[in-house]
This record gives sequence, C-alpha cells and structure tokens, in this order.
Amino acid sequence: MNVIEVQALSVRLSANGVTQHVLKSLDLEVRAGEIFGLVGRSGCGKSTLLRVLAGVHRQWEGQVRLLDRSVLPRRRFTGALRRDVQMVFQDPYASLHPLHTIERTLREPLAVNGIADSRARLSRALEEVRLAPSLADRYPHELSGGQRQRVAIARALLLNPKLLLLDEPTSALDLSVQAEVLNLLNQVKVSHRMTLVLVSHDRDVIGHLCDRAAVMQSGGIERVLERHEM
Amino acid sequence: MSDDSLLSVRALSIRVRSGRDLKTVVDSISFDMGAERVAVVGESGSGKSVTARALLGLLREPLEARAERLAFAGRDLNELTPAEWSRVRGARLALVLQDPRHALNPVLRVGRQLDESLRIHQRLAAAERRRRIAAMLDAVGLSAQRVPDLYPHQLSGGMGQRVMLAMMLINDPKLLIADEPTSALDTEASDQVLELMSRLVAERRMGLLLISHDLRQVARHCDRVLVMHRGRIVDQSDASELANSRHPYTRALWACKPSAATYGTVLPVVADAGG
Repeated sequence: MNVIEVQALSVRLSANGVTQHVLKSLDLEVRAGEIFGLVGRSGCGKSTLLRVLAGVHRQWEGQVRLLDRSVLPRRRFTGALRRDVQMVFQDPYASLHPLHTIERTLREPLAVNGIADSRARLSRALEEVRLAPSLADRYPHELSGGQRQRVAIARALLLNPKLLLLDEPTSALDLSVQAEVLNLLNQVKVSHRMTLVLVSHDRDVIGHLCDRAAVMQSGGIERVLERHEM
Repeated sequence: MSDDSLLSVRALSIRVRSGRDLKTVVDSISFDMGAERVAVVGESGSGKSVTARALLGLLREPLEARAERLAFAGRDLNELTPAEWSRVRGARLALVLQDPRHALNPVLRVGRQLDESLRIHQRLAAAERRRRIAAMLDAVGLSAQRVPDLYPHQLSGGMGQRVMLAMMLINDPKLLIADEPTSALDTEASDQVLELMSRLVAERRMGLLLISHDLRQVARHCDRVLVMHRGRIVDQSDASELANSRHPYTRALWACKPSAATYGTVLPVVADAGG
C-alpha cells in the first residue's frame, strides 16, 4: 500500500515579480512502513516537496493523496490528517517556542486536537525519546541541541502519527548526537509502525537510514534508488 | 630551528567571563607543530574554534586567553602589539573560515579583493601583482581569465572557498589555520577543497592547522590529529593510526558516522555526549 501518492505536482514561487518553477510536474510514491529519503543539493526542491506533504505549503497544482485521502491545494488539512501527518524541522532552536516550558510545548498538540492529556502521558513521551521527565519544567534554552531535537520528535510522536516528515533533522547536530537521533528514528519507526520521509543533503545519513530514496534535481526526481543502489 | 618549532603552544587556557564567573573553555593545552598538516578535531563546545582564534590573536571580550608560551616561528605571540599582529596576520599566519559568503566582501570583484590582500602586505608593481593573482588562481584550479571579474555571489560554495584559499596563500604564509573550511559545502566539493588545501600546503612546505568536527574526513587529508573534548586534548595520533585508537572518545567519534554500510545497525554513541 502507498502512504503517499503524488502525480504531476507543480509549485511556483513568486518573489519580486520573478516566478520560479520550484517543483516541475513531479510524481512520487512512498510505501507504508518504509523510511524514504529525499536527497539533492540546496535549491533542488526537496524541502518544498516536504512542506507540501506536511500541508504547510498549500499553493500547488497536481494530485496528492496521503494515507488514502485526497488532499486539495489551498486547503488546510482537516480531521485525522492533522494528527496522522507530523513534521520535525531542521533547526531545533527555531522550532520550539522559547518562552514555553517543554511541558507546555508538549501539551499544545494534544490540546489543539482535543485529546485528554496528563503529566503521566507527557512523561512517557519524554522517556520514549530518552529524556528525563524532569526536563518538562525546563525552557528550550536550558537544553542542548540534541535534547531539543528529541523534544521536537516527542511532540510529533504524541499524536501517534502514521506519517512522520523530517527536514534535515540532524544537520544542526554534532556527529555523536546525530548518531543518537538516528538510532532513535530507527527505533520509533518500528515501535510506532510509521512511515518516515526524510529530507537530507547528506548521502551518508540517507544511506544509513533509508529503505529507498529519490535523488532530486532542479524541481524533479532524477531517479529513485533502491536499497542495493545506495 | 627544529622542525617542531613553527608553532609552539604551552599551557594555553581560554576562559569566558560572565558576570563574576570565569568559565574555562580550554584547559591548559600544549602542542607543537612544524611544516606539517595537523587536524584539531572535536564537537561543539570542545574549544577547538576558540583555540584557533587565540592563536591568531582574535579573541575578544568576554573571552580571554593565557599561555605559558605561544610561539610562532620563534616569535612570542604574547608580546605582539596590535600593529605587529596586523603584520603577522594575513602575511605569515593566515586564516580560512567556514563560509566564504561571509568572509568575502560582497560588493568587490574577486580580482580586486586578491589585489588588496597583496597590496596590504607587500610592495609590488601592478604588473607583478596581476601575474601573481593569475598564478594563484591557476594553482587553486580557477580560471585566471574569468574569475577576477566575478562578484562573490556569482561563485558557488566550492569556488568561493577556492578564492578564500587563494587570498590566504597569495602572501606565502608559513602557517594556514582553517576553521571548518568546508562545513558549508556538500561532501563532494568538501573533499575536493580539502584535497587542494592539503596539496598546496605540502608543496609550499607550510604548516596547516585544520579545525574540524569530522574525524574520518580529516584523517584522509592530514598527517596528525589532536582530539579535543571539553577543552582538553584527550588523544593524539598519526592520522593513519586513528582507526586503531584506544581512547574511548576517539573510538566513538570514529564509529558514530553513519553511511550506507551502517544501514540496519545501531550506531555507537558517546557515553557522555550530553546530547
């Protein structure tokens, strides 16, 4: 079964009267349960593609099906998709609200989706990403980069998503901390039975983590690599 | 002058002042190097970058450096006046930084910037300067016809770093200090630039102090490696012997890098990485 089915996806971005064709009639299929990589140089459109799949970028043309549901351009995700698709961003410094404690940061997605929360549930979420529950009372600036990225992953996992989108999740981290986060991603893929789509410019990270990967170039997919081709 | 006497560092400590507290970020490190390629490898907070800056006299408040001895080519760096520093820096001791887009002047053509670094440190006729600029661009693999007329924004990351390298080497320095010179580049361009840097440094019989977080990558381009962790040099070895290091931190740094070959395995982690 395919978790993602994209046909003829095009995105044009305009700035200062200049229109750029960022994604050019792109097709993509991602199967359930795999870790799928999107790799390419800066400007190839890989992050834009991920933002379309996350429902963050909504100005596009073409057909997009996520988890067997059609997604429409210019519309926000509704219903179960809002929980089932979650995203982790590159910069853990920018993706956590600096004035909210970790507890408040983690409660927010539950509150927004009308899910009952409890301190016990938050503690379990932190333990799952190997963080001490006592960190819940801290602020982001009191955590290291690796700890913050794990909070961002915990926040995404709280809603039990079926599809987790990751934009360069380890490129701001040291190698030894990156190793911990990569191990964690492999682990949660199994424990949550999720599909992961990972954007990275680092072929080593893609090679370590991904079951298949698409090499992107100037707004299109150049080729899809099977495991033995990595 | 013995071969080890290009740079001699004894008990260098760097501290950062915040309010009344003094926090030690580099804790009494010592090393010597000659005309060789030495890498200083460590992760965030290991003190590697501030060490590079201290060697160039570039530390500013609230950072302060103390050393029993800090000697470059027989001169005590501790005793240099600001004017003397200006003559040493750029001419005999050169620095390449992480991102060429921040290090180059965005509104001056490349040729003009190379010319400026020659004029600041040497008195040469215009024709001789043009000849040297062309020869230097050629040495770093850039077109001497086309590149002098380009502005920095017209250069790719790899070309930008080659221009930086040309600018730093054009005055024939004795020691090049490079702080993560390729971490803004993709893997392929990064290896090319390190290869070039390493080759030019060897050809010119200079010293290279390469600061990096990537142990495996520098091992391919350097003779010797110092491993820094939390402000100390915890391990040092010949680059060719790194894979056999017995130090647990070096071993973890060596093995924690992912690749297609580690697919499906759990990566080793540093016990006290603190991440």
